Formats: sequence, structure tokens, C-alpha cells
Amino acid sequence: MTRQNFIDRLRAGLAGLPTPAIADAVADYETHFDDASAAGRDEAAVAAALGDPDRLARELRAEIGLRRWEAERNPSAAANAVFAVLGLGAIDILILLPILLWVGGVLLGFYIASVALFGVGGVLMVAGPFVIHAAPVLALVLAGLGLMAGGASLTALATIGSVGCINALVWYGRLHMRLLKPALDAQGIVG
Amino acid sequence: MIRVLAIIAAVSFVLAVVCLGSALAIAGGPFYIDDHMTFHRGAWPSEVTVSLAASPAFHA
Repeated sequence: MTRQNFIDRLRAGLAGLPTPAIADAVADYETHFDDASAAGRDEAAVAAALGDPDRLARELRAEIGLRRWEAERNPSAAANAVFAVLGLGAIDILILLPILLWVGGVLLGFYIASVALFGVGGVLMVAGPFVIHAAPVLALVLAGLGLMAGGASLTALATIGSVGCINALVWYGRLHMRLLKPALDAQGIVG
Repeated sequence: MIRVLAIIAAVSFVLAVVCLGSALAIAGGPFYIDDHMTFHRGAWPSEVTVSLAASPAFHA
């Protein structure tokens, strides 16, 4: 593979990412080729040593997604980090997927329950005194407020759980790239 | 971020327990709300039968 082929495939694999991120990544690999050329090494040998440009692009995309989550901590960055790790498309990610779906389902259940609690509490607090006859108004208002506070507490707990899960996923993604991938590569299993 | 969320969770949990406890204390017990959405305090009505066999749905 020539230098130009390698760079073109890397650039194609990174398509969709912010332009400065693509430029940085490409510049890194251009520097590798320049250094190797100055040392008198063959382009094809350097390209072979660097590895498959498509896989390198997938790993770079994952790393950019993980870094964005560490910098921003919002739902969009969280989704980006999850898809970045899944986008590695490795064998060990398939083992992770059922766990991820189960944890995601439980967290979604908590979010739905907290929204329901908050909604029921709000309705009880506002409409309760008019709908339920002869009831102590203060008790209805306090019960509604209590349910709303319970919903808010559950939402905060579910969000802490979500942040913890995304952090664990980021840790797993890094573990995959640093430890598992070299081990799989050594056995000839392409991740 | 986690610290703020933990504070929100703790404060709202305490608020929930205090509010629900106060509501229960004010409402007193035992109490129930009948089919006409009217609040009653005192013992459960004696005509209430908790039985699956007594349900009209089972005889339909």
C-alpha cells in the first residue's frame, strides 16, 4: 500500500468527524511517513507497520468519542461514547452488549418510574383538593409534594447510575484498545 | 456533576420522606376514599368484602 492510499483510506474512515480532528489525525500519520522516509524506509513497509487504516480510523473515532464524553458530560456526548465503543466492532464488545442492554433497560425503567411519580405527585397536589372531597387539603398538597420529591430523588439517582455506567463503558473501551486488541492481534484475530 | 446530583438525590429524598410522613400524620388513619372520591377517616366500612369470589367480574 502506498502512502497516498493509506492516508486516503484513513481520511475516508474518519469522514463525519470535525475537520480539525481529521486534520490532526492525518497530520500525525503524515509525520510518521516523513520520518520514515527521512530514515530511508520504504513507504509500503511503513504502511504495513502502521496497520490497517480502516481499523485505525475506527479506533481514532472511538477515542475522540470517549474524549468528548470526558470533556462535556451531556446526553449527546454519552450517546457518542456508547456508539464509539460499540463502533469498534470487536468480538469482546458482543459479550458486553447484553449487559449494556440490561443495564440500559433498568435505568430506563427508573427514569419512567421517576417521571410517573413526579406527574402523579403534581396532579395530586394541584387537582387533589378539588377532586377528592372532604379530604384535608394540606395532607393532599404534602402527599403530592412528597411524591414529586421522590420522583426527583429517583431521577438524580438514575442519572448518577447512568454517568457511572458510561464511565465504566469508557474504561472498557480504553481497556479494549490498550490490552485486549494487542492480545487479539498477537493471535491473529482482527478486532 | 456527581456531587450536585448526590446532593439533589439526598435533599429530595429527605423532603419526600418528611412530606409523605406529614401527609399521613395529618390525614390520620385508618382512612379510605370511596367510589365517589369522598375522603373518610375512621375504620374501614364493614360492607367492604375483599374476595375474588364476590367480584361480579368472576360471574360474568
